[in-house]
Amino acid sequence: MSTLSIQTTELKRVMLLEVSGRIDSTTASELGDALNGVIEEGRNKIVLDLEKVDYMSSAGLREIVAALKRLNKGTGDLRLACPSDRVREVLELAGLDEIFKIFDTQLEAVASFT
Amino acid sequence: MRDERHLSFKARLENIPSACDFVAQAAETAGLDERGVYHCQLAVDEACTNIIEHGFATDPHGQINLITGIEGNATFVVIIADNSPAFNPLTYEEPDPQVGLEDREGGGWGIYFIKKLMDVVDYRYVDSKNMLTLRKYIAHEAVPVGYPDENLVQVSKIQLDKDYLQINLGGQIDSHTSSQVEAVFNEEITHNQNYRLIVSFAEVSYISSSGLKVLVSAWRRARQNGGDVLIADLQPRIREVFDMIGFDMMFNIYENAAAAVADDPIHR
Repeated sequence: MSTLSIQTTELKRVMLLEVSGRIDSTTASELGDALNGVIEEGRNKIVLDLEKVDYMSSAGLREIVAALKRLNKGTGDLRLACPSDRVREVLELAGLDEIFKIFDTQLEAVASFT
Repeated sequence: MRDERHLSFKARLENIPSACDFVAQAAETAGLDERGVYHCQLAVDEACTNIIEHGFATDPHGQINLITGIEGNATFVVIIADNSPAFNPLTYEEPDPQVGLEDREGGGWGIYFIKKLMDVVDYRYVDSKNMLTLRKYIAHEAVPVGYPDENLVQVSKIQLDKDYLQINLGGQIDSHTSSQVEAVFNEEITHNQNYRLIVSFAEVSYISSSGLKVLVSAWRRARQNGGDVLIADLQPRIREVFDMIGFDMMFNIYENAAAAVADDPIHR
């Protein structure tokens, strides 16, 4: 039983992934698959909107780090929008706030790709 | 331990969300705030994920047992027990959050989070079971012990015999002064490799949660090196706090330094 849902929206320059639910060791691979799918389509500017993610464990962090590594080999980037305080705390603990560009709103994250 | 609750489940990833719910409910009832509850869930999730993915990697019939409870008035406890092969997660090399993207490894972050998010983490292998005990303090801010006065902290040291260093603490150990005490422990444990310490509280009038944290950290490092931090000369008010937050179950506590030396197992 999955408790994660991912909605993908193709914008002009950016692929927007809106995630909701719980990202843990049971669901992280769904997030990884979604990110890989988008990257394989050749879309390399991605915004991951985490506003509706109420929980994220290290399994989720592993997926976003892997995706960013892949994108950074080319000219792409994965940027994060609206993490909750709890998710932000986990990102900071792992030092990922220094590695990812994190925005307070979806709009700012999308607009950051000019 | 009060409000003891048990949950036993098959070691499969799909059971982790309900194990998290179980822990979250117990943590909330124990009085942890939303952030503390989240930390407990995440720590239990990470620990169970590791047990399932590594400990029981080749065993589809593994079981995990969770026990939660409250020690004293201010410590929420979770014990995670499993019968996969013995593995002490606390000895696993910690990843470094300063490392840049290219050099990042995927592993070790779960254990890192457990250590960062919990106040005390302890591993034992007992009766062919891995037992990981997580403790989270419920009252995080200033445990009220006695009354703060204007004295600052005092620290002195006496080398008792070749095995023991006695550290006498005095005054008030709070968020302003605990770093001085921490510096003394760091010097003795990390620098001088003195792993058998007797800490005398005879002259301590007050200790806050930050002072208690310094003590736990010294205790943990001494234990990791085969030593111990023994506690002596606790006044009743401070003894009460030790008992309240469950320190009496972690630390060996003695009437005075002489009793500590006489009763310590190393001398028997």
